Amino acid sequence: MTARVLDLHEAFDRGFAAAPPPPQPAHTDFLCIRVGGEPSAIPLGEIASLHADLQIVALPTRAPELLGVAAIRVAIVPIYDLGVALGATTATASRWTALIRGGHAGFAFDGYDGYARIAGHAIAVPAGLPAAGAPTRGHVRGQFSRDGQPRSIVDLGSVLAAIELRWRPRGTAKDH
Amino acid sequence: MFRNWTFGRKVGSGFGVTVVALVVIAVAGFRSATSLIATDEWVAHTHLVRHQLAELLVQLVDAETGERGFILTEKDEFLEPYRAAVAGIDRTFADLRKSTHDNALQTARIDEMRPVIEKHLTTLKQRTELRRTSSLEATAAAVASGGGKQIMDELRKRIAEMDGEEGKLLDDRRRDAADSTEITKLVIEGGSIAAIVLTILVGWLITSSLGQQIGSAAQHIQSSSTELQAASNQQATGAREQATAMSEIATTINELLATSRQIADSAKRVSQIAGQTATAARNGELTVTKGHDATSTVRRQVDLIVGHMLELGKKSQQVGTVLDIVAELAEQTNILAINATIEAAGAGEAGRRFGVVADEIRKLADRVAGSTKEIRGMVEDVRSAVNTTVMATEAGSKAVDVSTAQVIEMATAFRQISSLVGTTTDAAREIELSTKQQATAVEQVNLAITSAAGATRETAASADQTLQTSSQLTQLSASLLQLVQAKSA
Repeated sequence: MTARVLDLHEAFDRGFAAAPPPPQPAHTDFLCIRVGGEPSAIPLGEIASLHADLQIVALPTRAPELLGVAAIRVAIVPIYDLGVALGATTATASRWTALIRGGHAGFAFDGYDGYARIAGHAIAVPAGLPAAGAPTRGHVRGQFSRDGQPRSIVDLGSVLAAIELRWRPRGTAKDH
Repeated sequence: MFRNWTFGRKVGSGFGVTVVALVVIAVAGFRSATSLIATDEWVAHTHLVRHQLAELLVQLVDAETGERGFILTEKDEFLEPYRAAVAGIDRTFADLRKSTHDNALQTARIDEMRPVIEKHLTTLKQRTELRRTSSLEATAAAVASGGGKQIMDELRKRIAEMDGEEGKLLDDRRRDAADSTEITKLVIEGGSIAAIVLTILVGWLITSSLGQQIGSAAQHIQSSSTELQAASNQQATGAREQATAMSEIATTINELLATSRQIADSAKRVSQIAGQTATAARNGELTVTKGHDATSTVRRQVDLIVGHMLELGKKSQQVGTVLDIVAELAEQTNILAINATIEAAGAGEAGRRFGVVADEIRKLADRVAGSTKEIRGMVEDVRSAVNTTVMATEAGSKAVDVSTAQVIEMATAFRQISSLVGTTTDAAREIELSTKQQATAVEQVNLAITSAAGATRETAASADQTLQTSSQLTQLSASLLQLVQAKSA
C-alpha cells in the first residue's frame, strides 16, 4: 500500500514535471458510461461538463424522458433521462448528468465508468451510418472496445434533436 | 351326681362311710364297755366294802377272842390276836370310811359305829388290865356284868345293816352290769352286722360305679389308643419324611452358606472397587473444577477477543467512512479533471498544456478511485473477516458457555457420582457386613437344621416307640375292658 501511495505521488509529480507531449495521432476522447445497465460512451467533445448528484427539480410534463430542470452554472437546464430517450420503457436511478455542449440541455445516466481515449482506427462505424449531426433513431454513431467490452457511442446531439423534433409545437418544425 | 365323682372320691367316700360306721360302732361299744367297766367297778367296790365290813367284824371278834383267851390263861400270847385286831381296826375303819364316802347313809352309819367300837375296845382293854391285876373270877364277873355282849350285838347289827345295804347296792349294780353287758353285746352285734351290710352295699356301689366308669374309660382308652396308634403311624411316616426333608434342607443350607460367602467376597470386592471409584470421582471432580476454571478463563479471553473484534469492526467502519470520503474526493477530482479536460479542449491550443495536467489529474483521480476501490474491497474483506471472526468468536463464546454449562453439569454430575459412589460404598459395606452376618446366621441355621435333623430322627424313633406303646396300650385297654366287662357281667 505504501508503494502504491508512493507510485501515485510520483505519477502526480511527474504529470506536472513532464514536458508537453508531442502531437498525438488522431484520437477521440470518450466518457464511458452505463445507460440502463448497458455499457455506452459519449464523445467528450459533445459535452460541456459532467456532474454528479445533481439536484433535479421535476416538472409536470407529457415527455417521459424529461426528468426536470437543474441549475448549472446559474442557468436553468432541462435534464432528460438518456435511457428513456434511447427507448427504454422505465427510468432508472440516474446519478450522473452530462451537460451537452452549448449548455442548453443535460442527459442523466445511471453509471460512469471512466475516461477513454480511443484512436480513430479503433472506432468501428456501422455501414450506412449517416454523417455526424444527422438525425437518427438509433443515435449510435459507432462502437469501440474497452477492457474487452464493446461500447456503443451515443450521439447526444442526435438524441436531443429527436426529442426536440418529437415535442416541438407543430408549425415551428424546420428541416435539418 | 355320684357318676360324676372321681375314682378317689368314690373310693374315699366308700371307705369314709365304712369308717364312720366303724367309728359309730366303736363309740357305742366304747361307751357300753365303759359303762360295763364302771358297773363292774361298782360291783367290785361293793364287794370291797362288804369285805372291809367282814374284816372289821373279824377284827372285832379277834380282839374279843384274844381278850378272853388272855383272861382265861393270863398268857400274853393270847393277846396277839387282840393286839393285831386293835392295830388293824383303825386302818380298816379308815378304809371303810374312805370306800363309802360316796354313800352318805353308809358314812353316817360308820360315824355312828365309831364310838361304839371305841367303847368296845376300851372295855376290852380294861378287862385285860383287870385280869392282870385280878383273878379270873373277878374278871369273869366283870365280863358278865360289863355288857360286852350287847356292844358286840350292836356292832354286828350295824355291820349287818351296812352289809345289807351293800348287798342291795350289789344287786342293783349287778343288774346294771348285766344291762350294760346286754347293751354292749347288742351294739357290737348290731353294729357289726350294720357295718358289714353297709360295707357290702358301699362296695357294691363303688364296684358297680367304678366298673362302669373304668369300662367306659377303658373303651375310650381303647378307641383313643387306636387313634393314637394311627396317629403314631402317621407321625412315624411324617417324621421319616421330615428327616429326609431336613437332610435336603441341610444340603440346601450348605449351598446357601457357600453362596453367602461368595456374595460376601463379591460385596467386599465391590466395596473396594467403589472406594477406588470414589477416589477417581473425587479426582474427576477436581479435574472438572480445574476445567471449569480454565473454561472461565477462556470465556473471559473470548469476551476480550470479541470486544477487540468489535472495536476492530468499528475501526474498519470508520476506515470505510474515511474511504467513502476519499472515494468521493477522487470522484469529484475525476469530475473536475474531466471538466477541466473539456474546458481545456474548448480553449484550443492555449489549453493544451492545461489539458495535459488535467488529464494527469484525471488519471491520478482514476488511480486513486481504483485504489480506493481496492482499499474498500480490502476494508470490506477486513470487515467481513471481522464479522466472521466476531460471529465465530461469539459462536466460540456460546460454545464456551455451553462448555461451561456442561462443565458445571459435569462437576455436578461428578459430585453426584461421588455422593452416589459414597452411598454405593456404604451400601456395599453394609451388604458385606449383612452378608457376613447372614453367613453366620446361615451357619447357625445349618447347625440348628443339623440338630433338628437329629431331633427329627429321634422323633421318628420316638414315633415308632409310640406306635409300639400305643399298640400295647390298645391290647392293654382291650384286656382291661374284658376284665371290667366280665366283672360287670
